[in-house]
Amino acid sequence: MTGTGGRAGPAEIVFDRAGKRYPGQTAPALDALDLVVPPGEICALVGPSGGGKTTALTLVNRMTELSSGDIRIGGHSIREIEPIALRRDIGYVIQQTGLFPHMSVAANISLLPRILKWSARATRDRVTELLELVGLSPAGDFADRFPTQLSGGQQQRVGIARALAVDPPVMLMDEPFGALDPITRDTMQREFLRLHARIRKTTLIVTHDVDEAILMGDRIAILRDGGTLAQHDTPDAVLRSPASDFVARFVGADRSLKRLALRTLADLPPAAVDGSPPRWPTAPAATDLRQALALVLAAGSDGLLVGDGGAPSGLVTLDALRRAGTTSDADR
Amino acid sequence: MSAPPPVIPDYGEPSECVRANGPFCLDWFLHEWSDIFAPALVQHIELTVVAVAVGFVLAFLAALAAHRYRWTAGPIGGIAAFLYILPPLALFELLVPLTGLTVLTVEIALVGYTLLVLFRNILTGLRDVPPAARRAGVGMGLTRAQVLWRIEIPMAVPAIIGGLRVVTVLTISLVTVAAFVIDAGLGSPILKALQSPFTTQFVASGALAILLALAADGAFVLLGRLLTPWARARRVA
Repeated sequence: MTGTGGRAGPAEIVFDRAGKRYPGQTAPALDALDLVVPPGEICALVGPSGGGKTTALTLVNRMTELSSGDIRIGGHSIREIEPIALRRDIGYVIQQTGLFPHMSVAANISLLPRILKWSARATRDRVTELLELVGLSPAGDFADRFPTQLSGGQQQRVGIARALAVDPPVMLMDEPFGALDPITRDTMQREFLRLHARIRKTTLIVTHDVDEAILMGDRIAILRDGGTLAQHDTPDAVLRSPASDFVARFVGADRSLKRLALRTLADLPPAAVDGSPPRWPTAPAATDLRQALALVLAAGSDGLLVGDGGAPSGLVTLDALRRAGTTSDADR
Repeated sequence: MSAPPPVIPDYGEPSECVRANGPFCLDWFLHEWSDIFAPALVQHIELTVVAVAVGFVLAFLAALAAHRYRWTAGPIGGIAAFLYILPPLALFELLVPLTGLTVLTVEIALVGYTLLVLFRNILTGLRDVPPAARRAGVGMGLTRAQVLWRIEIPMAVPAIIGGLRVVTVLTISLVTVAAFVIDAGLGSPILKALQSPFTTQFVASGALAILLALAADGAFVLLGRLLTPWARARRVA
Protein backbone atom coordinates (compact mmCIF):
# COMPACT_ATOMS: atom_id res chain seq x y z
CA MET A 1 0.00 0.00 0.00
CA THR A 2 1.16 3.45 -0.83
CA GLY A 3 0.96 6.97 0.47
CA THR A 4 -1.78 8.04 2.78
CA GLY A 5 -3.28 4.65 3.39
CA GLY A 6 -6.31 5.15 1.15
CA ARG A 7 -9.39 2.94 1.02
CA ALA A 8 -9.92 3.52 4.75
CA GLY A 9 -12.51 6.27 4.27
CA PRO A 10 -11.96 10.00 4.07
CA ALA A 11 -8.87 11.48 5.65
CA GLU A 12 -8.32 14.76 7.45
CA ILE A 13 -6.12 17.35 5.71
CA VAL A 14 -4.09 19.60 8.00
CA PHE A 15 -2.07 22.61 6.85
CA ASP A 16 0.44 23.25 9.63
CA ARG A 17 2.05 26.67 9.04
CA ALA A 18 2.41 25.57 5.41
CA GLY A 19 4.40 28.13 3.43
CA LYS A 20 5.70 28.57 -0.09
CA ARG A 21 8.20 31.16 -1.22
CA TYR A 22 9.43 31.09 -4.80
CA PRO A 23 13.11 31.88 -5.35
CA GLY A 24 13.74 35.51 -6.27
CA GLN A 25 10.41 36.75 -4.93
CA THR A 26 10.19 38.86 -1.81
CA ALA A 27 6.57 38.11 -0.90
CA PRO A 28 5.62 34.51 -0.13
CA ALA A 29 3.06 32.84 -2.41
CA LEU A 30 1.58 31.25 0.68
CA ASP A 31 2.35 32.48 4.17
CA ALA A 32 2.26 29.99 7.04
CA LEU A 33 -1.23 28.68 6.35
CA ASP A 34 -3.00 26.97 9.22
CA LEU A 35 -6.08 25.14 8.04
CA VAL A 36 -7.87 21.94 9.00
CA VAL A 37 -10.25 20.18 6.65
CA PRO A 38 -12.15 17.57 8.67
CA PRO A 39 -12.68 14.14 7.08
CA GLY A 40 -15.42 14.12 4.47
CA GLU A 41 -15.85 17.90 4.32
CA ILE A 42 -15.49 20.23 1.35
CA CYS A 43 -13.26 23.24 1.93
CA ALA A 44 -13.43 25.95 -0.73
CA LEU A 45 -10.24 27.95 -1.16
CA VAL A 46 -11.28 31.29 -2.58
CA GLY A 47 -9.65 34.63 -3.12
CA PRO A 48 -8.33 37.05 -5.71
CA SER A 49 -5.59 35.92 -8.09
CA GLY A 50 -2.26 36.16 -6.34
CA GLY A 51 -3.77 34.92 -3.11
CA GLY A 52 -1.96 31.60 -3.35
CA LYS A 53 -5.01 29.36 -3.49
CA THR A 54 -3.73 27.20 -6.35
CA THR A 55 -0.33 27.10 -4.65
CA ALA A 56 -2.02 25.83 -1.49
CA LEU A 57 -3.76 23.12 -3.53
CA THR A 58 -0.69 21.90 -5.39
CA LEU A 59 1.35 21.82 -2.18
CA VAL A 60 -0.93 19.00 -1.05
CA ASN A 61 0.04 16.65 -3.90
CA ARG A 62 3.59 17.98 -4.05
CA MET A 63 3.29 19.39 -7.54
CA THR A 64 4.64 22.38 -5.62
CA GLU A 65 7.10 21.66 -2.83
CA LEU A 66 6.68 23.20 0.62
CA SER A 67 9.19 25.88 1.64
CA SER A 68 8.19 25.72 5.29
CA GLY A 69 5.73 24.09 7.63
CA ASP A 70 3.98 20.81 6.91
CA ILE A 71 0.83 19.29 5.50
CA ARG A 72 -0.60 16.08 6.91
CA ILE A 73 -3.17 13.81 5.29
CA GLY A 74 -4.77 11.32 7.65
CA GLY A 75 -1.98 12.07 10.12
CA HIS A 76 0.88 11.35 7.67
CA SER A 77 3.22 14.16 6.70
CA ILE A 78 3.33 14.52 2.92
CA ARG A 79 7.07 15.19 3.25
CA GLU A 80 7.52 11.54 4.12
CA ILE A 81 5.54 10.15 1.20
CA GLU A 82 7.15 9.74 -2.20
CA PRO A 83 5.36 12.19 -4.58
CA ILE A 84 4.25 9.60 -7.15
CA ALA A 85 2.73 7.38 -4.45
CA LEU A 86 1.16 10.42 -2.77
CA ARG A 87 -0.50 11.62 -5.99
CA ARG A 88 -1.94 8.19 -6.75
CA ASP A 89 -3.84 8.44 -3.46
CA ILE A 90 -5.23 11.90 -4.24
CA GLY A 91 -7.94 12.51 -6.83
CA TYR A 92 -7.04 15.51 -8.96
CA VAL A 93 -9.51 17.45 -11.11
CA ILE A 94 -8.52 20.51 -13.12
CA GLN A 95 -10.13 23.15 -15.27
CA GLN A 96 -10.56 22.21 -18.96
CA THR A 97 -10.73 18.65 -17.51
CA GLY A 98 -7.20 17.74 -18.65
CA LEU A 99 -8.69 14.68 -20.33
CA PHE A 100 -6.27 12.89 -22.64
CA PRO A 101 -7.70 13.52 -26.12
CA HIS A 102 -6.06 10.44 -27.63
CA MET A 103 -7.72 8.07 -25.16
CA SER A 104 -11.32 6.96 -25.07
CA VAL A 105 -13.43 7.82 -22.04
CA ALA A 106 -12.85 4.31 -20.66
CA ALA A 107 -9.09 4.55 -21.25
CA ASN A 108 -8.96 7.95 -19.53
CA ILE A 109 -10.74 6.65 -16.45
CA SER A 110 -8.83 3.38 -16.32
CA LEU A 111 -5.33 4.79 -16.87
CA LEU A 112 -4.30 4.70 -13.23
CA PRO A 113 -5.90 1.28 -12.51
CA ARG A 114 -4.06 -0.11 -15.54
CA ILE A 115 -0.76 1.41 -14.40
CA LEU A 116 -1.39 -0.14 -10.98
CA LYS A 117 -1.94 -3.49 -12.78
CA TRP A 118 -5.53 -4.07 -11.80
CA SER A 119 -7.07 -7.09 -13.51
CA ALA A 120 -8.88 -6.38 -16.77
CA ARG A 121 -12.16 -7.40 -15.22
CA ALA A 122 -11.80 -5.22 -12.12
CA THR A 123 -10.78 -2.30 -14.30
CA ARG A 124 -13.76 -2.71 -16.63
CA ASP A 125 -16.19 -3.04 -13.72
CA ARG A 126 -14.75 0.07 -12.08
CA VAL A 127 -15.15 2.12 -15.27
CA THR A 128 -18.81 1.10 -15.56
CA GLU A 129 -19.42 1.83 -11.88
CA LEU A 130 -17.81 5.28 -12.12
CA LEU A 131 -19.59 6.30 -15.32
CA GLU A 132 -22.87 5.47 -13.64
CA LEU A 133 -21.82 7.32 -10.48
CA VAL A 134 -21.18 10.54 -12.40
CA GLY A 135 -24.42 10.25 -14.35
CA LEU A 136 -23.05 9.04 -17.68
CA SER A 137 -25.26 6.00 -18.06
CA PRO A 138 -25.81 3.70 -19.73
CA ALA A 139 -22.03 3.54 -19.49
CA GLY A 140 -21.67 1.62 -22.75
CA ASP A 141 -22.76 4.65 -24.74
CA PHE A 142 -19.90 6.75 -23.42
CA ALA A 143 -17.01 4.39 -22.70
CA ASP A 144 -15.72 4.22 -26.27
CA ARG A 145 -16.11 7.88 -27.17
CA PHE A 146 -13.22 10.28 -27.37
CA PRO A 147 -13.26 13.45 -25.24
CA THR A 148 -13.86 15.65 -28.32
CA GLN A 149 -17.14 13.81 -28.79
CA LEU A 150 -18.48 14.96 -25.40
CA SER A 151 -20.01 18.23 -24.23
CA GLY A 152 -18.13 20.35 -21.69
CA GLY A 153 -20.26 19.09 -18.82
CA GLN A 154 -19.83 15.47 -19.89
CA GLN A 155 -16.07 15.98 -20.14
CA GLN A 156 -15.94 17.32 -16.60
CA ARG A 157 -17.96 14.32 -15.36
CA VAL A 158 -15.35 12.05 -16.94
CA GLY A 159 -12.64 14.14 -15.27
CA ILE A 160 -14.30 13.57 -11.90
CA ALA A 161 -14.76 9.85 -12.60
CA ARG A 162 -11.08 9.57 -13.53
CA ALA A 163 -10.06 11.30 -10.29
CA LEU A 164 -12.11 8.75 -8.35
CA ALA A 165 -10.72 5.74 -10.25
CA VAL A 166 -8.70 4.17 -7.44
CA ASP A 167 -11.00 5.47 -4.67
CA PRO A 168 -8.61 8.00 -3.11
CA PRO A 169 -9.42 9.33 0.37
CA VAL A 170 -8.84 12.93 -0.72
CA MET A 171 -9.83 15.03 -3.75
CA LEU A 172 -8.22 18.22 -5.04
CA MET A 173 -10.18 20.30 -7.53
CA ASP A 174 -8.63 23.31 -9.26
CA GLU A 175 -11.33 25.58 -10.75
CA PRO A 176 -13.17 22.43 -11.86
CA PHE A 177 -16.21 24.19 -13.28
CA GLY A 178 -14.47 27.36 -14.46
CA ALA A 179 -14.60 26.59 -18.17
CA LEU A 180 -18.30 25.67 -18.27
CA ASP A 181 -21.18 27.88 -19.35
CA PRO A 182 -23.26 29.25 -16.43
CA ILE A 183 -26.15 26.81 -16.80
CA THR A 184 -23.92 23.74 -17.09
CA ARG A 185 -21.78 25.02 -14.22
CA ASP A 186 -24.83 25.35 -12.01
CA THR A 187 -25.93 21.79 -12.85
CA MET A 188 -22.45 20.38 -12.29
CA GLN A 189 -22.03 22.15 -8.95
CA ARG A 190 -25.27 20.72 -7.62
CA GLU A 191 -24.57 17.28 -9.05
CA PHE A 192 -21.13 17.25 -7.49
CA LEU A 193 -22.65 18.09 -4.11
CA ARG A 194 -25.06 15.15 -4.46
CA LEU A 195 -22.19 12.91 -5.52
CA HIS A 196 -20.08 14.12 -2.62
CA ALA A 197 -22.88 13.33 -0.17
CA ARG A 198 -22.49 9.70 -1.31
CA ILE A 199 -18.73 9.37 -1.50
CA ARG A 200 -17.69 11.75 1.33
CA LYS A 201 -14.16 12.40 0.05
CA THR A 202 -12.31 15.12 1.91
CA THR A 203 -12.22 17.75 -0.81
CA LEU A 204 -10.25 20.94 -1.38
CA ILE A 205 -11.73 23.03 -4.16
CA VAL A 206 -10.08 26.15 -5.54
CA THR A 207 -12.28 28.82 -7.07
CA HIS A 208 -12.14 32.55 -7.72
CA ASP A 209 -15.94 32.67 -7.66
CA VAL A 210 -17.24 33.52 -4.20
CA ASP A 211 -20.73 32.24 -5.06
CA GLU A 212 -19.27 28.88 -6.02
CA ALA A 213 -17.32 28.79 -2.76
CA ILE A 214 -20.47 29.60 -0.74
CA LEU A 215 -22.45 26.92 -2.57
CA MET A 216 -19.83 24.18 -2.52
CA GLY A 217 -17.92 24.66 0.71
CA ASP A 218 -18.84 23.23 4.08
CA ARG A 219 -16.30 25.86 5.06
CA ILE A 220 -14.60 28.48 2.97
CA ALA A 221 -11.06 29.72 3.37
CA ILE A 222 -10.49 33.19 1.97
CA LEU A 223 -6.90 33.89 0.97
CA ARG A 224 -5.65 37.37 0.16
CA ASP A 225 -2.55 38.92 -1.41
CA GLY A 226 0.63 37.61 0.09
CA GLY A 227 -0.91 34.22 0.73
CA THR A 228 -2.41 35.05 4.11
CA LEU A 229 -5.62 33.53 5.38
CA ALA A 230 -8.21 36.28 5.76
CA GLN A 231 -10.97 34.12 7.19
CA HIS A 232 -11.87 30.45 7.53
CA ASP A 233 -15.40 29.61 8.57
CA THR A 234 -18.74 28.31 7.39
CA PRO A 235 -20.30 30.27 4.51
CA ASP A 236 -23.04 31.50 6.86
CA ALA A 237 -20.54 32.78 9.43
CA VAL A 238 -18.38 34.48 6.78
CA LEU A 239 -21.41 36.24 5.30
CA ARG A 240 -22.87 37.16 8.70
CA SER A 241 -19.68 38.53 10.20
CA PRO A 242 -16.80 39.10 7.79
CA ALA A 243 -13.52 39.22 9.68
CA SER A 244 -12.23 42.30 7.89
CA ASP A 245 -13.04 44.98 5.33
CA PHE A 246 -11.21 42.86 2.79
CA VAL A 247 -13.49 39.88 3.39
CA ALA A 248 -16.58 42.12 3.40
CA ARG A 249 -15.60 43.61 0.04
CA PHE A 250 -14.65 40.23 -1.36
CA VAL A 251 -17.92 38.49 -0.50
CA GLY A 252 -19.80 41.51 -1.84
CA ALA A 253 -22.21 44.18 -0.66
CA ASP A 254 -25.07 41.75 -1.28
CA ARG A 255 -23.81 39.33 1.36
CA SER A 256 -27.06 39.53 3.28
CA LEU A 257 -28.88 38.27 0.19
CA LYS A 258 -26.27 35.54 -0.31
CA ARG A 259 -26.76 34.54 3.30
CA LEU A 260 -30.52 34.34 2.79
CA ALA A 261 -29.90 32.08 -0.20
CA LEU A 262 -28.16 29.57 2.07
CA ARG A 263 -31.33 28.82 4.02
CA THR A 264 -34.87 27.79 3.19
CA LEU A 265 -38.24 28.64 4.68
CA ALA A 266 -38.03 25.34 6.55
CA ASP A 267 -35.03 26.69 8.49
CA LEU A 268 -37.02 29.55 10.06
CA PRO A 269 -38.97 29.08 13.29
CA PRO A 270 -42.52 28.40 12.09
CA ALA A 271 -45.32 30.82 12.89
CA ALA A 272 -48.80 29.34 13.02
CA VAL A 273 -51.59 30.72 10.87
CA ASP A 274 -54.23 32.32 13.17
CA GLY A 275 -57.70 32.06 11.72
CA SER A 276 -58.03 32.78 8.02
CA PRO A 277 -54.67 33.29 6.29
CA PRO A 278 -53.79 36.77 4.97
CA ARG A 279 -53.78 37.29 1.18
CA TRP A 280 -50.04 36.72 0.86
CA PRO A 281 -48.15 34.75 -1.78
CA THR A 282 -47.57 31.04 -1.05
CA ALA A 283 -44.26 29.19 -1.47
CA PRO A 284 -43.07 25.63 -0.69
CA ALA A 285 -40.94 25.07 2.41
CA ALA A 286 -37.91 24.25 0.21
CA THR A 287 -37.86 27.80 -1.20
CA ASP A 288 -34.65 29.60 -0.24
CA LEU A 289 -35.07 32.79 1.78
CA ARG A 290 -33.68 34.99 -0.97
CA GLN A 291 -36.40 33.83 -3.35
CA ALA A 292 -38.95 34.17 -0.56
CA LEU A 293 -37.91 37.79 -0.02
CA ALA A 294 -38.20 38.44 -3.75
CA LEU A 295 -41.74 37.02 -3.71
CA VAL A 296 -42.71 39.25 -0.79
CA LEU A 297 -41.24 42.34 -2.45
CA ALA A 298 -42.93 41.54 -5.74
CA ALA A 299 -46.32 41.08 -4.07
CA GLY A 300 -45.92 44.14 -1.83
CA SER A 301 -47.08 41.99 1.08
CA ASP A 302 -45.86 41.83 4.67
CA GLY A 303 -44.94 38.15 4.48
CA LEU A 304 -45.73 34.87 2.78
CA LEU A 305 -47.47 31.59 3.43
CA VAL A 306 -45.60 28.31 3.52
CA GLY A 307 -47.28 25.38 1.82
CA ASP A 308 -46.94 22.85 -0.95
CA GLY A 309 -50.45 23.36 -2.30
CA GLY A 310 -53.46 22.79 -0.09
CA ALA A 311 -53.76 24.60 3.22
CA PRO A 312 -50.67 26.63 4.25
CA SER A 313 -48.68 25.01 7.04
CA GLY A 314 -47.45 28.30 8.46
CA LEU A 315 -46.40 31.82 7.61
CA VAL A 316 -43.20 33.86 7.50
CA THR A 317 -43.32 37.58 8.03
CA LEU A 318 -41.21 40.16 6.24
CA ASP A 319 -39.82 41.04 9.64
CA ALA A 320 -38.59 37.44 10.14
CA LEU A 321 -36.94 37.50 6.72
CA ARG A 322 -35.27 40.82 7.57
CA ARG A 323 -33.87 39.40 10.80
CA ALA A 324 -32.61 36.29 9.00
CA GLY A 325 -30.64 38.43 6.61
CA THR A 326 -29.11 40.79 9.15
CA THR A 327 -25.33 40.77 9.27
CA SER A 328 -23.21 41.87 12.16
CA ASP A 329 -21.75 44.90 10.49
CA ALA A 330 -24.44 46.42 8.36
CA ASP A 331 -22.71 49.78 8.66
CA ARG A 332 -19.54 48.71 6.85
CA MET B 1 26.65 -31.33 -87.73
CA SER B 2 24.35 -28.59 -86.59
CA ALA B 3 24.88 -24.93 -87.31
CA PRO B 4 26.69 -22.97 -84.58
CA PRO B 5 24.54 -20.50 -82.65
CA PRO B 6 24.53 -17.03 -84.13
CA VAL B 7 27.17 -14.71 -82.76
CA ILE B 8 24.63 -11.92 -82.41
CA PRO B 9 21.59 -13.16 -80.40
CA ASP B 10 18.21 -12.80 -81.98
CA TYR B 11 16.60 -9.84 -80.22
CA GLY B 12 13.50 -10.10 -82.40
CA GLU B 13 12.04 -7.30 -84.38
CA PRO B 14 11.91 -3.92 -82.58
CA SER B 15 8.39 -2.56 -82.34
CA GLU B 16 7.17 0.43 -84.25
CA CYS B 17 7.37 2.51 -81.05
CA VAL B 18 11.00 1.60 -80.37
CA ARG B 19 11.97 2.26 -84.00
CA ALA B 20 10.30 5.68 -83.87
CA ASN B 21 11.79 6.38 -80.38
CA GLY B 22 8.34 7.18 -78.97
CA PRO B 23 8.13 8.89 -75.56
CA PHE B 24 7.18 5.65 -73.77
CA CYS B 25 7.23 2.17 -75.31
CA LEU B 26 5.28 -0.20 -73.07
CA ASP B 27 6.47 -3.35 -74.86
CA TRP B 28 10.10 -2.44 -74.31
CA PHE B 29 9.43 -1.46 -70.70
CA LEU B 30 7.77 -4.81 -69.98
CA HIS B 31 10.55 -6.67 -71.77
CA GLU B 32 13.20 -4.95 -69.67
CA TRP B 33 11.20 -4.97 -66.41
CA SER B 34 12.96 -7.91 -64.82
CA ASP B 35 16.43 -6.93 -66.09
CA ILE B 36 16.48 -3.19 -65.41
CA PHE B 37 13.48 -1.76 -63.65
CA ALA B 38 12.53 -4.32 -60.99
CA PRO B 39 16.05 -4.56 -59.51
CA ALA B 40 16.42 -0.75 -59.61
CA LEU B 41 13.06 -0.28 -57.90
CA VAL B 42 13.91 -2.78 -55.15
CA GLN B 43 17.29 -1.13 -54.55
CA HIS B 44 15.56 2.24 -54.47
CA ILE B 45 13.13 1.06 -51.81
CA GLU B 46 15.93 -0.50 -49.76
CA LEU B 47 18.04 2.66 -49.83
CA THR B 48 14.99 4.74 -48.83
CA VAL B 49 13.81 2.47 -46.02
CA VAL B 50 17.25 2.27 -44.42
CA ALA B 51 17.76 6.05 -44.64
CA VAL B 52 14.33 6.94 -43.22
CA ALA B 53 14.52 4.29 -40.48
CA VAL B 54 17.98 5.31 -39.30
CA GLY B 55 17.08 9.00 -39.60
CA PHE B 56 13.91 8.44 -37.60
CA VAL B 57 15.71 6.68 -34.75
CA LEU B 58 18.39 9.40 -34.56
CA ALA B 59 15.88 12.25 -34.82
CA PHE B 60 13.59 10.61 -32.24
CA LEU B 61 16.39 10.25 -29.70
CA ALA B 62 17.55 13.81 -30.41
CA ALA B 63 14.00 15.13 -29.99
CA LEU B 64 13.60 13.28 -26.67
CA ALA B 65 16.86 14.86 -25.48
CA ALA B 66 15.77 18.31 -26.65
CA HIS B 67 12.37 17.84 -24.99
CA ARG B 68 13.94 16.83 -21.69
CA TYR B 69 16.86 19.30 -21.76
CA ARG B 70 15.59 22.42 -23.48
CA TRP B 71 19.02 23.97 -24.01
CA THR B 72 20.02 21.15 -26.38
CA ALA B 73 17.27 22.01 -28.87
CA GLY B 74 19.22 24.91 -30.41
CA PRO B 75 22.52 23.10 -31.04
CA ILE B 76 20.83 19.91 -32.31
CA GLY B 77 18.61 21.93 -34.63
CA GLY B 78 21.66 23.83 -35.87
CA ILE B 79 23.56 20.67 -36.80
CA ALA B 80 20.49 19.19 -38.51
CA ALA B 81 19.94 22.42 -40.44
CA PHE B 82 23.58 22.46 -41.58
CA LEU B 83 23.27 18.91 -42.94
CA TYR B 84 20.00 19.86 -44.61
CA ILE B 85 21.35 22.84 -46.56
CA LEU B 86 24.45 21.10 -47.95
CA PRO B 87 23.96 20.39 -51.69
CA PRO B 88 23.72 16.59 -52.13
CA LEU B 89 26.48 16.35 -54.74
CA ALA B 90 28.81 18.42 -52.58
CA LEU B 91 28.09 16.16 -49.62
CA PHE B 92 28.88 13.08 -51.72
CA GLU B 93 32.14 14.72 -52.78
CA LEU B 94 33.02 15.35 -49.15
CA LEU B 95 32.22 11.80 -48.09
CA VAL B 96 33.73 9.77 -50.95
CA PRO B 97 37.35 10.27 -49.80
CA LEU B 98 36.33 8.96 -46.38
CA THR B 99 33.91 6.16 -47.12
CA GLY B 100 34.47 5.49 -50.85
CA LEU B 101 31.94 4.84 -53.59
CA THR B 102 29.80 2.76 -51.28
CA VAL B 103 26.27 2.34 -50.01
CA LEU B 104 27.54 3.73 -46.72
CA THR B 105 28.40 7.05 -48.37
CA VAL B 106 24.94 7.27 -49.86
CA GLU B 107 23.17 6.34 -46.61
CA ILE B 108 25.14 8.84 -44.53
CA ALA B 109 24.13 11.61 -46.88
CA LEU B 110 20.49 10.49 -47.09
CA VAL B 111 20.16 10.19 -43.33
CA GLY B 112 21.65 13.67 -42.99
CA TYR B 113 18.84 15.11 -45.07
CA THR B 114 16.09 13.45 -43.02
CA LEU B 115 17.19 14.76 -39.64
CA LEU B 116 16.04 18.38 -39.69
CA VAL B 117 12.42 17.79 -40.68
CA LEU B 118 12.01 14.72 -38.46
CA PHE B 119 13.66 16.35 -35.45
CA ARG B 120 11.57 19.51 -35.73
CA ASN B 121 8.31 17.66 -36.25
CA ILE B 122 8.81 15.22 -33.39
CA LEU B 123 9.91 17.97 -31.00
CA THR B 124 7.00 20.21 -32.00
CA GLY B 125 4.60 17.31 -31.50
CA LEU B 126 5.94 16.67 -28.01
CA ARG B 127 5.88 20.35 -27.06
CA ASP B 128 2.38 20.96 -28.40
CA VAL B 129 0.73 18.57 -25.94
CA PRO B 130 -1.83 20.72 -24.08
CA PRO B 131 -0.44 21.76 -20.68
CA ALA B 132 -3.68 20.63 -19.02
CA ALA B 133 -3.16 17.06 -20.25
CA ARG B 134 0.44 16.99 -19.03
CA ARG B 135 -0.58 18.54 -15.70
CA ALA B 136 -3.39 16.04 -15.26
CA GLY B 137 -0.95 13.21 -15.92
CA VAL B 138 1.57 14.46 -13.38
CA GLY B 139 -1.19 15.21 -10.87
CA MET B 140 -2.66 11.70 -11.05
CA GLY B 141 0.72 10.23 -10.19
CA LEU B 142 2.31 9.24 -13.49
CA THR B 143 6.09 9.06 -13.54
CA ARG B 144 8.03 11.18 -16.00
CA ALA B 145 8.45 8.14 -18.30
CA GLN B 146 4.73 7.34 -18.11
CA VAL B 147 3.83 10.92 -19.03
CA LEU B 148 6.19 10.66 -22.01
CA TRP B 149 5.14 7.25 -23.34
CA ARG B 150 1.46 7.29 -22.49
CA ILE B 151 0.59 10.92 -23.12
CA GLU B 152 3.19 12.99 -24.94
CA ILE B 153 4.40 10.54 -27.58
CA PRO B 154 0.94 9.19 -28.54
CA MET B 155 -0.32 12.76 -28.86
CA ALA B 156 2.69 13.65 -31.04
CA VAL B 157 1.91 10.86 -33.54
CA PRO B 158 0.14 13.12 -36.08
CA ALA B 159 3.15 15.47 -36.15
CA ILE B 160 5.55 12.51 -36.36
CA ILE B 161 3.63 10.96 -39.27
CA GLY B 162 3.60 14.36 -40.97
CA GLY B 163 7.39 14.51 -40.69
CA LEU B 164 7.80 10.96 -42.02
CA ARG B 165 5.65 11.76 -45.06
CA VAL B 166 7.75 14.76 -46.03
CA VAL B 167 11.04 13.00 -45.35
CA THR B 168 10.14 9.81 -47.21
CA VAL B 169 9.12 11.67 -50.34
CA LEU B 170 12.27 13.78 -50.10
CA THR B 171 14.45 10.68 -49.69
CA ILE B 172 12.86 8.83 -52.62
CA SER B 173 13.69 11.85 -54.74
CA LEU B 174 17.24 12.14 -53.39
CA VAL B 175 18.04 8.45 -53.90
CA THR B 176 17.99 9.07 -57.68
CA VAL B 177 21.05 11.32 -57.19
CA ALA B 178 22.84 8.47 -55.41
CA ALA B 179 23.52 6.98 -58.86
CA PHE B 180 26.47 9.37 -59.07
CA VAL B 181 28.09 7.32 -56.31
CA ILE B 182 26.79 3.77 -56.68
CA ASP B 183 25.14 1.83 -59.49
CA ALA B 184 21.86 1.30 -57.68
CA GLY B 185 18.32 2.62 -57.50
CA LEU B 186 16.15 4.20 -60.16
CA GLY B 187 18.72 6.97 -60.60
CA SER B 188 21.02 4.48 -62.27
CA PRO B 189 18.87 3.86 -65.40
CA ILE B 190 18.10 7.58 -65.51
CA LEU B 191 21.80 8.48 -65.52
CA LYS B 192 22.50 5.91 -68.23
CA ALA B 193 19.53 7.10 -70.28
CA LEU B 194 20.92 10.62 -70.25
CA GLN B 195 23.74 9.39 -72.50
CA SER B 196 21.38 7.83 -75.06
CA PRO B 197 18.75 9.34 -77.32
CA PHE B 198 16.26 6.59 -76.41
CA THR B 199 13.61 8.14 -74.14
CA THR B 200 11.62 5.22 -72.72
CA GLN B 201 14.22 4.20 -70.13
CA PHE B 202 14.44 7.77 -68.86
CA VAL B 203 10.67 8.30 -68.74
CA ALA B 204 9.98 4.90 -67.16
CA SER B 205 12.55 5.31 -64.38
CA GLY B 206 11.37 8.79 -63.52
CA ALA B 207 7.73 7.69 -63.51
CA LEU B 208 8.53 4.76 -61.21
CA ALA B 209 10.24 7.10 -58.73
CA ILE B 210 7.19 9.38 -58.73
CA LEU B 211 4.77 6.48 -58.28
CA LEU B 212 6.90 5.12 -55.45
CA ALA B 213 6.78 8.49 -53.69
CA LEU B 214 3.01 8.70 -54.06
CA ALA B 215 2.55 5.15 -52.77
CA ALA B 216 4.79 5.77 -49.75
CA ASP B 217 2.95 8.97 -48.94
CA GLY B 218 -0.40 7.20 -49.17
CA ALA B 219 0.86 4.40 -46.93
CA PHE B 220 1.80 6.91 -44.24
CA VAL B 221 -1.60 8.59 -44.48
CA LEU B 222 -3.24 5.21 -43.87
CA LEU B 223 -0.87 4.41 -41.02
CA GLY B 224 -1.70 7.77 -39.44
CA ARG B 225 -5.42 7.06 -39.61
CA LEU B 226 -4.95 3.66 -38.03
CA LEU B 227 -2.82 5.02 -35.20
CA THR B 228 -4.87 8.13 -34.42
CA PRO B 229 -8.58 7.40 -34.63
CA TRP B 230 -9.02 10.17 -32.04
CA ALA B 231 -7.66 12.84 -34.38
CA ARG B 232 -10.65 12.43 -36.69
CA ALA B 233 -13.26 11.88 -33.99
CA ARG B 234 -15.47 14.93 -33.82
CA ARG B 235 -18.52 15.77 -31.83
CA VAL B 236 -21.40 13.51 -32.59
CA ALA B 237 -23.76 14.97 -30.00
